[in-house]
Amino acid sequence: MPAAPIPSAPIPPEFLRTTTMSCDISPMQLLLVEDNVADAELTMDALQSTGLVNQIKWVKDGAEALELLLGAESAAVARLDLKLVLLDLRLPRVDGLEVLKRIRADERTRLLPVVVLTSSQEESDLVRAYDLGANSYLVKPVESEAFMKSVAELGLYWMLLNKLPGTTQ
Amino acid sequence: MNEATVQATGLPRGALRGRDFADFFTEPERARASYQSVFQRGSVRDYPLTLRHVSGSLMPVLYNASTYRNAQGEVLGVYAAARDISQVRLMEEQLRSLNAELEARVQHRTEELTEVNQELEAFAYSVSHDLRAPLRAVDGFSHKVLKVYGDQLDSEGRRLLQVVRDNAQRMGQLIDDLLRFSRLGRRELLFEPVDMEALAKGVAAELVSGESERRITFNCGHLPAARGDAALLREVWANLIGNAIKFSRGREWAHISVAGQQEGDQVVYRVQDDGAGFDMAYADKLFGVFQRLHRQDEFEGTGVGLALTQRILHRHQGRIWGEGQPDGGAIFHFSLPLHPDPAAAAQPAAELLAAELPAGERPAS
Repeated sequence: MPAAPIPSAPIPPEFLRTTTMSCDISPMQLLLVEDNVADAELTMDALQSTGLVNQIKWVKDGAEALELLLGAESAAVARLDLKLVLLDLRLPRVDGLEVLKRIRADERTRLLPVVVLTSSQEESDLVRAYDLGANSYLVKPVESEAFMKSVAELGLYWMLLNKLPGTTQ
Repeated sequence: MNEATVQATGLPRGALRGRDFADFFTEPERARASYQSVFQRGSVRDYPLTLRHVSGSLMPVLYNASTYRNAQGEVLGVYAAARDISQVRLMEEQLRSLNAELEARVQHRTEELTEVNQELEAFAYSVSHDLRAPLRAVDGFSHKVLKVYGDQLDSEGRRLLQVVRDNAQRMGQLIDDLLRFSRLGRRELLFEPVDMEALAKGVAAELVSGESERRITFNCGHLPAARGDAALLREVWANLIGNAIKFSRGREWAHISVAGQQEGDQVVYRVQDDGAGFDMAYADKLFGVFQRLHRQDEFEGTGVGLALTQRILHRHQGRIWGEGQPDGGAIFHFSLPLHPDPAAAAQPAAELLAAELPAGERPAS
């Protein structure tokens, strides 16, 4: 456990991130479904580098993602501020395409933006993902600058520019 | 009654005399019917029957008969002969079983190939997914160390970390190229008329515009149209023109020319440059996967471009060959049939892959 910050001192960003990630029913703007720990860290680095995405919830498999989005208890609260699901395809337990299918099949989440973020460049995965209603499909670049840039731009677009139904103010 | 009848039935002449011969066939009614039709129509030709030997063995025969008459046209009797066709039947049977065996073998091989294909697919999938992820971590975290702790490292430390990053990125490029190569074997080709001149000029304009600081003269003669998959043929031009641009980098003023003409039932195209060229002694290595004739620090690349190009052309039933001399430029020619057979392009990937592996690494067939 990290030591509690001195109240007057600025809270280090690493600490903020840890707290939002470990709290199960905190509001989230972005749900990251990613089983690879290194990829998850790099993705969150990139998203946070924009300064716009603060409330990221990270889950490591499809079953956990479905429980969070469609489960009985915390789902309604968790969905409140959610603007984007970043979904890896090859996941333990329930794979990404199945998660996407179930999200689209449920009245409460059928319009939720889902962007597939994966290593797979297989044509069949692309076709399946779009068939199932993915909003976008991004292949993770190996090259670090390209990866950071793609993810940061993606975060900015979906968090800031994209308009969702029911959010007109 | 003759000796052959005795042989065929296994009965002594005495036992045959006075018996209805029709009874020696497996189907006496049909035998009798054939005998009657001789009288009605004057003859019967190649009527198939089966004779039964007393031992129980059967002999397939073709029954031929005709009547003979006197000068007044009255029927005096019947000439009849049953020809033993056991051998013919046996050969037919053998032929049938050989065909069936061949069919089964083709079926078996097809299944094997399908299986190999599926394995290749699974392999390509796992390469694209599983091998890229750790590389991303190597590059990503090296980058992070440089960014966050860069000021705590001296220049040599930063250089070493950069070497790690460069190599991770290069391996990523190699994996991507290998995947492109493998995907090409599985992709369905679309055969349609392709304006090769527009394709070559478009590709060249795009590639040359990316070299704004260089002086390149690009010449394109009239190119005949071809039949094939436009997206893949564009890849051929992009590889060949891209190579010409890359390998003429050392020239203050590079000249690249493209030409083509119809030759018999094929079209032949040519891309020529005045660049670094190559030694013809290594010409057989030009089209191998990951084979390179230049050092990495002279010319960057993974050595997949020409292998990919050759594979595209092979799938179009075309050919590619190159000429060059060190520091004397290179010419690459490729040919495409005017009337390609789309069925021949549907070769299984495994076969294609085997064809491109060095002989020693081919799977035993």
